[in-house]
Parts: sequence; C-alpha cells; structure tokens
Amino acid sequence: MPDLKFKNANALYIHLPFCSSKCPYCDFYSVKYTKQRVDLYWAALFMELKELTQKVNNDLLQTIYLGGGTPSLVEPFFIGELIKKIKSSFRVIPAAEITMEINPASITEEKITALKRAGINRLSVGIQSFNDQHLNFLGRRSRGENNKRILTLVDQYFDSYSADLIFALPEQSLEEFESDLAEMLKFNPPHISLYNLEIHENTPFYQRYNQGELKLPTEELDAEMYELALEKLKTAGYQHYEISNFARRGYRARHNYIYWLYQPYLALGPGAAAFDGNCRSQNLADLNLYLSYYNPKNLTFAEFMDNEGSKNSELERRTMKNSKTKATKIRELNCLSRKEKMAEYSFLALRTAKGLFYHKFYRQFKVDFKPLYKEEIAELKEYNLIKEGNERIYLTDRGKEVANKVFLKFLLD
Amino acid sequence: MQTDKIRNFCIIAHIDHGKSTLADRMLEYTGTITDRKMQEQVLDKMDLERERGITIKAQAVTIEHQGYELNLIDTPGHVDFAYEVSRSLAACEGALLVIDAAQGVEAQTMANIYLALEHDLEIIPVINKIDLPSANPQRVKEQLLDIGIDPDEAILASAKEGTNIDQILEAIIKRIPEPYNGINQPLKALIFDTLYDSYQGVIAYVRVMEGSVKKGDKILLMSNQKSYEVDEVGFFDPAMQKKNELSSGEVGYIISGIKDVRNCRVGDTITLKNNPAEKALPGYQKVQPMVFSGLYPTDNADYEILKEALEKLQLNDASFTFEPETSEALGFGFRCGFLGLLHMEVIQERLEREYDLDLVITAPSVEYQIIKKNGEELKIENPAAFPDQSEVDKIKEPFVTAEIHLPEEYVGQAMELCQDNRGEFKDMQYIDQDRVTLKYEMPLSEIITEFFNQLKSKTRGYATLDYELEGYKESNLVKLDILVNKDVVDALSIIVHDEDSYQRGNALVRRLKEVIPRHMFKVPIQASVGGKIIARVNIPAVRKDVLQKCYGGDVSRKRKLLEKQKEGKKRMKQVGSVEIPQEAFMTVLERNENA
Repeated sequence: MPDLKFKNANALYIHLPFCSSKCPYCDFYSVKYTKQRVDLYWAALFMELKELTQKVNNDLLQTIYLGGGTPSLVEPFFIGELIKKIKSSFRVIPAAEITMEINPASITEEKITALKRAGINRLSVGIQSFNDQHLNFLGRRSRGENNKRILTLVDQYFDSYSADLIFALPEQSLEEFESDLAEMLKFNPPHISLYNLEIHENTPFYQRYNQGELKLPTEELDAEMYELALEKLKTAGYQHYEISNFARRGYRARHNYIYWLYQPYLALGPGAAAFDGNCRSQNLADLNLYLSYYNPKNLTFAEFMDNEGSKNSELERRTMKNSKTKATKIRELNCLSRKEKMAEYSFLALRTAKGLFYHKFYRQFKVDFKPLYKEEIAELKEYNLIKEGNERIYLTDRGKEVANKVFLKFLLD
Repeated sequence: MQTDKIRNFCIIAHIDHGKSTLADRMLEYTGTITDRKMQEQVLDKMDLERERGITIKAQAVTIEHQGYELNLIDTPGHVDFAYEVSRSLAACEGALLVIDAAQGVEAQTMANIYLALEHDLEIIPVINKIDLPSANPQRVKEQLLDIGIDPDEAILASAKEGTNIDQILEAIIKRIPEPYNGINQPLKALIFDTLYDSYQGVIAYVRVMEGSVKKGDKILLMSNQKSYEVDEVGFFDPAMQKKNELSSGEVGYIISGIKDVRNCRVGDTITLKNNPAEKALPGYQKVQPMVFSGLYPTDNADYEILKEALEKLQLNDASFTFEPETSEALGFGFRCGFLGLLHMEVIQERLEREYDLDLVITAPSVEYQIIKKNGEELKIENPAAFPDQSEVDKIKEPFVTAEIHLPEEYVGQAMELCQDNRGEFKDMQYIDQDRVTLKYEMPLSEIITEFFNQLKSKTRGYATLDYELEGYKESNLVKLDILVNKDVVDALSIIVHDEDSYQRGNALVRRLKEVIPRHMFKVPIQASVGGKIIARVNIPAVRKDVLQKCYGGDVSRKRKLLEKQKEGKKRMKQVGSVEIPQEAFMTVLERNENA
C-alpha cells in the first residue's frame, strides 16, 4: 500500500474516539467510553505514533490538537503521557499550541488543572448552548448553569481557550439565539466557534429530518442569526477571521489555520485524516480494527510501556511486520488531481478573512489565478459576494453567507 | 400443418395474476424450452417490460404438443396499445383468461373479457395461484358465474408450481376451435406486430388467415400496395426457425427485405401480388400519434446522438414520429409523437437508458386545429407555436370517448374527476351487481395529463381506462405563457381552457417555485394569458448556503459535496441567467390539487 510521505508537517491531530453518549447530530467517529478501552487504545496509539515517526521528514510541529469524541473523558494521566511521547518523538516548537476538546459534562476543576499540568495549553469547550431545552434536544448532558460554571473555571486556569456555539436549531427563535450569544459574551472568551446545525448523513437527526420530524429554520432566519452574531461579535471586539470562527487579537486557532492554508498535517487514531500536500489518508473509523492492527496482543498501556523498554520487542516486530505486509487495510489513501487540489486550495483560502492571495496560489500551482477565473471573479464581484484587494480576493459578509455559491465557481471541470 | 391440428390462443390477465409465469410453464412442460437457465418470463423481452411488468411488444411462440401446433400470442397490456392488442386478438381463436385465486376477478379482467368476446374468442378460465394460502377458488368461481362464465369450465392451476399445466394444454386442444381452413384461397396474412433487424430488415409477425406463403413469393401489402419478394418464412420456438411455407391457420414470420417499418404496419394484410385477395382483412387502421412532446438534449452537443437514437427507435416502432424543432429556451430538439403517455414514457426511458442521454422533456400536448381570422387553418401540436390570440378565430381540439370500468363504490370520485377534467357524462351501465362502466366525452388533452394516475389513485387501482378518438370540437382555449425572470420560456407554454387559466396559472407558478432553485438574485415567475399577467410568485434570492464547519477531516468531503452541487447544476437548462431543472418542464402537466 502506498503511504503518505510528510515533509515539513506543522500540525498533528489525534482522535480520541470515546463518548459516554452519542449526540444525535454528530457524525464524528466515537464508541462508548470505558476505562479498559482507553487503556488498550493508548498502547495502540503509541504504536501508530511510532510508525508515523518513520514517515516524516523535517517535521516541526507548531500545533497539536486532541479532538474527539470526548477527550475530557480520558484521564489526564494518559494525556500527559501522550504529550510527553509526542515531544520526544517529533520536533515540537516550545510555543506550540496544544489544544484539547472538553465537554462541560465530563470535566471538573481538578481535571482542568491536571490537563494544564499535562501540557495542554488551550481548551476547546463544547458549550453549544446555554438553553436547557436546546441542550437537551442536542443530546448534550450538560445544562446551562453547568456550562457557565465550567466556562468560569476554564477562564480562570487557561489564557487561551475557545467556546463552541450552535445555532439555527429547529424552532429556535432569533431572541433565543441572541440570549445564548449574550450569555457567551459575558465570559468574553478569547475565541468563539459558531456553527449552524447541519444535518449529516448517518446520524439520528438525518433520519428524523427525512421523516419530516425536524423542521430546520428557514434560510432567512438562519441568515438573520448569522448576521446578528457577526454584528454582536464585531462590536465586542472579535475578529471574524474565518467563516465560523471569531477571535480576540492574538487568539486565532493556529491548528485550524494550518488546514485552511493547505499545509500538511499528521494524524493519529481511527477516523483521523492526514494530508501531505498531495494525498490525503484517513484511518478507517473502526476502533476494533485499529486495536487489532496496532495492539494485537491486547496489551494494557502499562504492559506496553514495560515492553517498550526492551529493544525490538516482539510486539513491535509483529506490528511493524503487520504494517509492512499490509495484510490488513487500516486506512484509505486518496491522492488528489491537480484540479482537485486547486479547488480545495481556493475554497479553503476563501474561508479565511484574508482570502486567497494570487501570489500564493501561483507559488502552489504555477498558474495565475486571476486570468484563469476572470469571468467568475467579475460575476462574484457584481453580486457583491467577493471583494478584490491588493492582489487577493476575499469574501464579503454576504459572501460568507452563501459561500458555497462562491466556492462552486472555483471548481474546474 | 392441417388446420385441425392447429390452435391459436392468447393469454389475458390482470397485471400480476401470473400470465408470464403460466406461459413459461407451458413452454417448459412441452419441452419447447429445454434450457433451464432461461430467463424468467421468456416472453417479455425488454428490460423495461420486465421491470414494469408490462408487455409492450407482442410476442409469439409455437408449442408442439401431442401432434398439435399451439400458437401462443402474448399481447401488450396497456390502453396506449389498445389497437395492437386488438390485432393480436384477431389472430387467435381462443384465450386463456387467467385469474388470481386470491385476488379474484378485477376490473382489468373485465375489460379483457369484453375484448375477447368482441373478437369472438373461446374463453378458457384458469384460476391460478391455487398454491397460495389465501387462495379462494370457490369465491372466484362464484364471481365467474356472476359475469356469465361457466365456473365448471375453469381449470385450477398453479403456474408457479406447475400444477395442472397438462389440463390447460388439453383444454386448448379440445375447446378452442381449429382455425378456418382457407388453404385454397388467395393469401391473407394479418400482421400483428413487426420487429426491425439490422441485417434482415422488417420481420413481420403474421397469422395466415387464408392461403399460403413461401420463400420467393411476390407479396403485396394491401394498404399501400407495395410489393416485396419473400426471403424467408418461419415460426417462433421462441427463436426464429425457418420453414418452407406458412399456410392457412398458422402463425409465424415473414421476412421480405422491407427496410422501413412504416411500410409494414400492424393490422395490414399481406397477400400475393400475382394472386391477390379481393378484400383486406377488416380492422386495419393507420395508427396516428395522439400525444406530442418536445425532446431536447440537456447538453446541446448531444443533438446528433439524440437524432440517431430516435431514428433507431423508429425502425421498430411505426407509431412513433419525430421531427426537428427549435425552442428559444431549450435550443435544438425534436417534436415527437406518441400513441399515449405510457408510449411516451417508454420511449423516453429507452433513450435515457439505452443511449445514455440526458433529456429535457416538455409537457405533452395534443394536436390542435386553429382557424385564424383570415381563414387560414393551422395544425399545431406545440403550444409554443400558437399564433397570437388576437389572430385566432376558432380553436378545435381532439375529443375522445372515455370508457372507465370500475367498482361501483368509486363511481362518485371518478365522476368528479371526469367533470374536473371537462368531461361530459354520456352513459353509465352496470356490468354486474357492483361493477360499472362510465362513458364520458372528454378532451384528449385532459386525459394525457395526470388523469389516468389520478383515476388510479382515486379508485385504489381498480379503474381501467379505454379511450377512442371521437373527432375535433371547438373549445374555448387560450395559451398560457410562463415568464421566468421576465422572459417568456416558450417550452413552458401550455394550452388550457379559458375557465381554468387562473387556477392552472397559479398552480403552475407555485409548482415552479418549488422546483427552481434559489439564485443569487430574486427570480419572478409569472403566468400570462394574451400578454396579461394572471399569476405571480417570486423565488427569493438565496440567503444562506455555506458549509459552516470545515477542518482537517472535512476537506475532501466538502469538495465532493461542492462537486455534486456543480454536477446538479449541469443537469439544468440555462435560460437567460436562470437555471431551470429538467423536472420543471414536466411539472406543467401536474395538477396541484392543493393549489
């Protein structure tokens, strides 16, 4: 099986696929959390990490992101071990951004401080709403009061953190969203991510939606909510630096920015996707497969670490052999055509407030963007969806609302 | 073969009562088909026929059994092909009437019995599917008695399990009369179907009524007086098998180098040039298309491919016509004529499936006769070509007599539906205690819209519809235009009755609002009659369309979503600056009941 060859990778994503319950709108891969699973998983994760070190060249990690799932279910001890391992396996810059997602329902003050000691320096808090009814509808186990309490704690211990908010829920009024927003702004978090509810295939919401049980708000209301947020957050001093992301100066998500800049990123864990600039590989979203591949002997983490001490351990030989003969398929590899890359580059760049710089596009693809899309640029400008700046184009606020219509123009046949 | 050793029969049945399975079993039982790997339902040849469970082309097969030659003719089963059916029945002396032992006699069964009786066929009732746990043959027998068929004559069978196939074959031999022996008379062969073969030309499926025909004979087609030399005659087993001669009473095929299927039409009589029959067989009609619609390639580059495909389809189907047409909105395409809606759907589906064409299809129309104030007369089957209302003196449209057979309990709904579609009540007759035939005079244009489907749904599938062209009558008709973003889209114009224009116009613009996607700008949709706007809606500009979340694992998926959106746009027709999806052009025939 061909595999990715990473050069100059700056970011590492690690998927921790454990949840205590599955939210009906979420399509990220997760399995039910148990201590035993995490224990076995950690041994496997360390094996994949070891395998990964052999594929990278001249790496210099600037960001590490622990996403899920619900990473906050995992004991801080494991998190600490993992970060130590990463730092000893890759070159990691001293000021690296190390983010972890936390769920207010599975976090305590003790854990928050422990995570900080473990090396996490940025938290992404899945607030979603402060309205108990909406939280219940979304399958969230935390409630408004708890969300506030956790935000206060996070704010107390972490300088950098982000809080997520979901809007455009069925039957949500503009006023209800406005009060969610106002509540959020009371905490003045350094970073806010704002998502409208999207209905993904293979989720319980998708079925309910298809059966007509979920009535999403009209396009008009969805747009009004978004516009309201843009206005309020701007007034509160946030930069709208990407379609769904807002930050106070100096607090942009550096990890996510690497995705939008179309730079390579490494990934670990089932369901996680990596990109080497040409190809994307995604580990199959199957924990059992992952465990049998990377931890065939079912070692606990402690057993694994013991074993690790002895050079060329049996486990390692087996695993390495396994991954070399490639008897089992563990990931999907998808190499992109030039046209696909150009399309991806364009829509990712346009997601950011800075937009797409012609000279960067040229550097990447050795073709001039502007003459290539002359008519499209003119048409989009006419509809006031993009603006042309100094050697770049970027979305207007209206353009951000109908960004798909803009992105479509930059797909090549 | 001596005529006393020949039996010609067909099988008539309600859909799903097991007609094709029974035919298969008879072929197997008699060893006509020994290959056990034969595809189920040998007689329905096209994929489309198999999928839809209908027979479109007639088929024939000769079964040898106990020294007899049994010719089975399988008939098409839809109102659009009523004429073809009647010609197939005219080629037979008897019919197996297959009734599902669990379902019993159904509406279509009745229609079939009438047809068979009209052609003076000996009917052998077969109560099929007696293996089903829910089978109730006794009830079916009572029903048969009700409709005047001797229940003691019925044969209980299970085609699926092969039960009593021998009895059926015996009944065919014993009860169906032998064909008339006219061997010494001049040739009269009835064409009941045709097939085009690229090597051999037209293959005529015939029943020889009188005389005989062999290779080398000079034949004459009586309707058009064209003559050809016979290359080959034979029978079906069901593959074509050469034979020296086809003679009075026999069923088979004649190949005579006819290149154009239009010169060899179903219902015509073949005779010998040097010894012609005095009179042709009765019942021949030159079938005329009654329903017209425009077919346009979504991608204009496919025009030539579409043209070739239409030419190929016409080789096999003389009742289908086409000629080039241009639309301002849709570009270059063809105006095609069909026997009816099903015929139209079948052709369209074959074009899309067999030739991989992406088509825009305009709403079906009938042919109108227009008398202008200056006395000029026009025949128009494309609403877009209608002259200006101010120049029109009179418009005539085709009317049909519609016969609807249905259970009494649905009469009320059916009558209401007919009235809503400008039907004029003519007659109602009880077939038996709870079965009724309704007769209405109706404009054909009403029937070719949603009428048949609505009739089916209002009667839970029990009603059957037959119609016959009555003639042209004057009607108060107007042309309803649709304006998209202020421009008339010619392909969306329809002809409606003046009284319905507001209601149709309103329903139509609302329906179009549902199918035309939002654009970057507001798109007004208007309906107008004679330049006056009678209905209007706006499609608001798109307000929000963005994939909000996009991180490392999402990129490929988001790109694919965008690519899919783009693919969808390609399937639309660009009219001015507005993209109109294909289905919009068909929605004009839908009646929105809630509107």
